[in-house]
Amino acid sequence: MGETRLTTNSNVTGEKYGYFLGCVMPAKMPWAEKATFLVANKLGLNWDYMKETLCCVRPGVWKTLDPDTWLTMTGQNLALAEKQGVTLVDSCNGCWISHYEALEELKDEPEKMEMVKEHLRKANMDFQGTVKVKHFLQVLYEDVGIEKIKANITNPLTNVRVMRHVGCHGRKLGDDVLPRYFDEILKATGVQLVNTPYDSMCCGLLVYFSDPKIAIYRNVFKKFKFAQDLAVDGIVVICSGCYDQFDRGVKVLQEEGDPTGEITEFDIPVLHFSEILALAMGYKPEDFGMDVFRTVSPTKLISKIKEGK
Amino acid sequence: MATQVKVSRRLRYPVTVPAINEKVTENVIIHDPSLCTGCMQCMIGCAYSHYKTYDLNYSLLYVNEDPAKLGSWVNANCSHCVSPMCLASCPALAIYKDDLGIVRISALTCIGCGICAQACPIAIPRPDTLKKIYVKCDMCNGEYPNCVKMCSTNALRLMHREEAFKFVNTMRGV
Amino acid sequence: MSTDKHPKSWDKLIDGGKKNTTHKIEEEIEIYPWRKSFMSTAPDVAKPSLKRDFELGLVYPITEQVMGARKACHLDPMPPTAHKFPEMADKKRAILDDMGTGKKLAFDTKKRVYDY
Repeated sequence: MGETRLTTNSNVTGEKYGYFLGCVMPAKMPWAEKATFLVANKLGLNWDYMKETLCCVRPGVWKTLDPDTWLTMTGQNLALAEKQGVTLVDSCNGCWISHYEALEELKDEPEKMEMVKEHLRKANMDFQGTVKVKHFLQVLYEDVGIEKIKANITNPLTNVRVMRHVGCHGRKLGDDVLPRYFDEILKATGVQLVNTPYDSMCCGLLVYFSDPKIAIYRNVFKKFKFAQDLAVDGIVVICSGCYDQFDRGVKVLQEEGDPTGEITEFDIPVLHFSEILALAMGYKPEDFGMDVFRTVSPTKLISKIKEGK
Repeated sequence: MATQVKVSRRLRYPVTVPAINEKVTENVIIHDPSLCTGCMQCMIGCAYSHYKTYDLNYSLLYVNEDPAKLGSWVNANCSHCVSPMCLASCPALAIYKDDLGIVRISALTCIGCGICAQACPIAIPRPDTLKKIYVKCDMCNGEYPNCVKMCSTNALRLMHREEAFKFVNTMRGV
Repeated sequence: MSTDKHPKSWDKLIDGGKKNTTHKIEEEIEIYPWRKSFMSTAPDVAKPSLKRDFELGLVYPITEQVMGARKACHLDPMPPTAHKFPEMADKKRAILDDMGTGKKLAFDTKKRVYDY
């Protein structure tokens, strides 16, 4: 596993990154998309959209239904990245695991690779399997390096308290990889991290199709109850899938009320990792439309940041 | 069926007891609670591969929140024991070990009494209300189990039996 | 928990799945009570999103409202995904047809309904 990750900072400038948007990011969190671009440009990365992308092929659904279809359709995205000559970068854990696992599986099993190639050839696409897949956190921590990020932070958010949520698929390589990068980069921005016992709990997106009550009243509610009790300024996520689920869960909880009757208002915003980074790098909330198109608007946080200045 | 029947003579009334076939599966499914996030993807994968539904009630392995530790999860999955309690307890002799060492419940001979679930230390067999029999993990017929394939964090792993024994012991601090 | 009913968004998904299926399982159970109930490959909840996979190539559509929000965030109103390049979704559909995935899921790709 370790071989596919870069450990040196040498080829920072040379690598061309293609940012894979996925389904949720463009349709539900445009502010995160903008913030990611601001951060990447500030850090001097060769950063652009990966174009013509499709759904990553949700592993939770398609892998159960038909693993071969999952591999082929993921192969289509990988082939596109290869054609465009970019390193595929995902910030959504779901997209990342889909691409990463499919690539690993295709490399391990030549028969599957042949099958995928065969199907893609029929659609006039060529696939060799030479593409690289990286998580946004890997790009930041391994390629850019924590020192460079620290050097770019001009406005440390020392008065902001946040809860964090890495997400299940982010833990695939172990707690020492993506979760550690997530924590260290967040600490570099100066925010105070609040620990709760439910930090590692799943957002509930994966179980939502089978039992929405567990997904919302157990997973989302428990997290937000802690957030509400501790009066944090937000829950920071990296995964768009987790944002989607939290957003949906909060909508349901706002509509139908707290099942235990203790909490009357759900007003903790869900923030994207890039937003925190962009704010700490000196961008204003208006630069990426922080309060646009959200279920819970982070007005309190915005005023706090402005007062802090 | 691999079971031969012998009669225990020490009891007051002779009871048939299935002889234990010592063959075991090469690998077992191991759960690492420190990595588990309670996403229940394993249960969904299991329910789908056996029943073509996402309903968690159809799953053959179980994830529950650990009552002793908040935000921690316990997973109950069949380890296809060397001498299975379910097999020993079955009054209809419906439980047997197949050639691979997988402990199975025969759908034809099971009478749905539920003794196996009571005998099993972690209550793995569950009632199938439609067929009115008990069902349990069949290790996906010796293929790579779907629950392990679906696990989103590598908390469920397929391990060699001896390795798994050592792993569990170190995890328990023995 | 305290409420017995499912959240509205979930009911909407189930309804969406049922609406897109020609085979009405509830009615059939009444007509043929002894017939063994049939489980389709795609569960009802997953049907709407799988259908969008065939139609759009992605899960969420870009509506007027989303375009407005994207403009407010200083972004191009149309993201450079399959929303902007529908020919990629066509390719995906061709691949899916070629693999026979529609047939496996009992999805009629021409009529855009689940039919089995």
